[in-house]
Amino acid sequence: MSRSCRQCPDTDLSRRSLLTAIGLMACGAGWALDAPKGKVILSITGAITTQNADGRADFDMAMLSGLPQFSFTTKTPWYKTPKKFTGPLLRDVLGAVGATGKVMTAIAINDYKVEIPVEDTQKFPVVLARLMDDQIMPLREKGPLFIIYPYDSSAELRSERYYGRSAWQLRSLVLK
Amino acid sequence: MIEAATHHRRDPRQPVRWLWLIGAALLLAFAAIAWVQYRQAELLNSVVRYEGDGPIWRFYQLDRELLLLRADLRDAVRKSEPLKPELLRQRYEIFASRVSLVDPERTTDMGALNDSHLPVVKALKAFIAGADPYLAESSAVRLDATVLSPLVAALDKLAEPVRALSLASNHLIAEQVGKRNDASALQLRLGIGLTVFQSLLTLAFAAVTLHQFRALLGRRRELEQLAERLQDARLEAETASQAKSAFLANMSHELRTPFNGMLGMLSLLESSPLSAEQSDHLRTARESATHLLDILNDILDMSKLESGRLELMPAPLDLHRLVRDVEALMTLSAAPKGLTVQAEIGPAVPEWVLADGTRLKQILFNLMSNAVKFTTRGGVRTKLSALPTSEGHCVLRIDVIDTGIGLDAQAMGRLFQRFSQADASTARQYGGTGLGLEISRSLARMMGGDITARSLPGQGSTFTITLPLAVADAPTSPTPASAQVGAARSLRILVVDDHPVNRKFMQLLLQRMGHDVRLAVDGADAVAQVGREVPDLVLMDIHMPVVDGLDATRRLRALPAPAGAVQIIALSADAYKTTRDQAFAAGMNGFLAKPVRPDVVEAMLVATFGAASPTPPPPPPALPPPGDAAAEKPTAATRPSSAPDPEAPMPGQAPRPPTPGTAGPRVAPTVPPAPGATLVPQPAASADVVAPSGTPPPATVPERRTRRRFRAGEMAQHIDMAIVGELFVGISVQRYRALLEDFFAQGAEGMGALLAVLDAAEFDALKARAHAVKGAAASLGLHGIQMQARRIEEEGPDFDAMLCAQAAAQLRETIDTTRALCERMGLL
Repeated sequence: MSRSCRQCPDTDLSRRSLLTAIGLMACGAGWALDAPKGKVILSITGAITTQNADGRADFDMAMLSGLPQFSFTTKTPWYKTPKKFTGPLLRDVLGAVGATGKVMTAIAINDYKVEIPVEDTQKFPVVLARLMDDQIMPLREKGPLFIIYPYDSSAELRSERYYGRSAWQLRSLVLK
Repeated sequence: MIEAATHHRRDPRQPVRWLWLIGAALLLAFAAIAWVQYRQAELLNSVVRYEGDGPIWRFYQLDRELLLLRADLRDAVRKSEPLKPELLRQRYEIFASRVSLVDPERTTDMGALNDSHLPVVKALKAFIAGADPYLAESSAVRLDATVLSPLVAALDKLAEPVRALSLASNHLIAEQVGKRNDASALQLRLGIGLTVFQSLLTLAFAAVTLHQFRALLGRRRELEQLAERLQDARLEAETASQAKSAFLANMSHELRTPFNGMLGMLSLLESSPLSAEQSDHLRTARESATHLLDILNDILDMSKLESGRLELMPAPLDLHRLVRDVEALMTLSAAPKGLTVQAEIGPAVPEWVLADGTRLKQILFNLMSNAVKFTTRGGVRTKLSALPTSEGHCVLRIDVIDTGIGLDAQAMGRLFQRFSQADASTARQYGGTGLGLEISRSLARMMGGDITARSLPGQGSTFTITLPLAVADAPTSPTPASAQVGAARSLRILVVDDHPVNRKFMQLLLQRMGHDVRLAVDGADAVAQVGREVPDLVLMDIHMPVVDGLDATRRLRALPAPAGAVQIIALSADAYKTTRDQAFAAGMNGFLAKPVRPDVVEAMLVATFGAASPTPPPPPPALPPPGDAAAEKPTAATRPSSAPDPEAPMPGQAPRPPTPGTAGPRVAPTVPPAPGATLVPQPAASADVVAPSGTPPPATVPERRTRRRFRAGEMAQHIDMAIVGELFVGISVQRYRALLEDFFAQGAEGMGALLAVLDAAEFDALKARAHAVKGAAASLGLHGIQMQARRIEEEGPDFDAMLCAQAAAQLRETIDTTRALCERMGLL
């Protein structure tokens, strides 16, 4: 809302706000999300209420770094040493697009696909990591986005089920 | 039973041991199972670790990305119209990102698969190093065939080794999975084995438990059966005990009835003229009888105590008088031994107490007579003292101290046991049933007290009775016991008894007391007689055939007065309380126990009809002595002065207190047989009888020791029982016997004289002698002799010598037979 207000030059604030609200209702949630200015690195489709493109919500790195950031250090099967991962919580990302589905399919750049229950994002602080050890992750280092569970926090998470859900080189999410 | 017991003793312990063993084994099994499960969890963890993005997947991905990159590169080379370079570069970057995942130096959980692993990774790295200048995202080199062709060739070289590594990883993992499966199977088998073992143990546990349970059930059943058997045995024992009690009650009746007759007859016999020798015999017989009765009573007391049928009847009692009475009696019995008997009554001892006097007297008699019995020098002292316990109550202490033989510790231990005397020799020396002390102590305990003994051999003994007693008020009216006794007047008394001896005895007894006695043979007879004429008193036997005493009493009570209001006193040898209660319930006014003692009867009569002058009424008139030559002469001398008073205690023996159940108050023995009243016919001292020298002995007929047989009708020929019966009624059997004995013993004066005359053929004297004999025989009912004598009297004058001898022989035979008959009847 604030963003939509910021978007508009303020002449008659209360009237404009009211109109904006009516407009929002009429046009769906499209305006609630800024359009990506840089390269789109994540597209979310399916059961979402907020979109910024044709039937989907696109994100560039700036939009993701604009969301509240979260970081933790954990061991993983893919690296010899513990790594610090930083990025928005997946639940915040889903909240930003008004996701209503129960399950999402994470699709990687190489077409790797895995289904993740939305519930996971509520149960665990699942991070949509965009930094590893405070560095942008290049494609070669499984970037630019990597779904990371806090593996060290629970033995349950140190299993093939959650390692499999930890999609790297993530490109899009489809909510069902 | 013992076997079963030991079996049971062993049985419960063994299964318990088994339970422990099985429990321990179960614990072990559980531990093993836990271990196995822990191992399984570990195994699972390792599986998970291996599965975590496992090598197969990584090599497969690497292989796939390599092939995709090669395909894209080939397309780009062949078509010369290249794919968008950024897409190609992205493909390359993805491939490059996969290399690090199979590099053991960069990733965890990835060891070297085989020897070619590291060289291949090295080659891949080298390829990337070579390709980066062209294909890296950051590169801006234009991608054309010349650039790409060498890269395709390089990839072609890598494709095969990477493929091989992928397969190798697959084989390796398959092998690992196989090993894991083996381990898992082993674990599983172990687990199954343990589970089976555990199940077996559980089954064993259940089996032992079941066995225990069964054993328990069995034992319970056994116990139940045992309890049942015990119950049965108890019932049997109780039934047997009841049968015994019933038997005892019957026996007491059966024994006391003839005893009553015997003692009564002995009493009466004592009042008949007897020679000194006879008196002595009689006294011995009486002592024996009394002793026997004592023993009988002891045994009955004991049986009653044992069966709990003995009941105490506390009543106000003059304790001082009781003690003095006992003292007086014991003094009498101790006198022959030269012992002193002394009773000291302490100042605190109350005069009137509430106690069962009969039983208290019994205890005191027992202890004192024991003391006298076992003392040869010195005396017996009885000290009474009392300790008040509360208002109206005190503990009476009676010490009976003797200077006798004493007792040692061993004998003291046996003292109160039945049938035990200090030792066998004393038992022989002193006699007694040995029941007395036990009875005394049981009685004392029933009264809430006890008897203890202290003694030292040779230093005498002290028996101590302690009794808690309630103090009673002195009765205001003088007790009947203190009154002079004797029936007020001649009473009309109906004696009802089915037993002829008892009937006769009661009749004689009451007649001698001066009463008018009538007899009834059973209850129906009694009711009829009372209906005709109401007597002053009915003495009613309880046990009778046809109509018993209880029934007869009820019938009498149903009659209108005065018949219905007649005084009825029960008479029974069965002295149990139930019998007495029944008697009173039937409406009787009193109860007399058999054997009946004259003093008790007297006391009863006094209690019922009041006291009067003690003067004994005149005896029933005796028949004039047979024979005109007979003279009346009192013969007090025939009663030896040494003859004991029938009521006095026998020397060395406690006089028996009156049988319990006596209705009237007890009185001191008062009714001595009136010796003066006994009229004994004396043989005529005719001077004209010429007795031949060497007078035949009184027993002219030799006594026949052999039991002779009598022909039918002999009895009727020789004796007229009607007359004899009348005589019995009239003068008593004793007197009849005396007469009979005199008759047969007349010797020179009587029958002997007649025989002598016959033998001598003195025809002149025959008639007179025969007449005398005839008269005497007729009076005595000796019909045979009477007839013989009459014939001699009538025909004698005409006799010749031969006839005389014949008559003498006949007379002798008749006398013989008559005498035998009389002997048989117990009259001689």
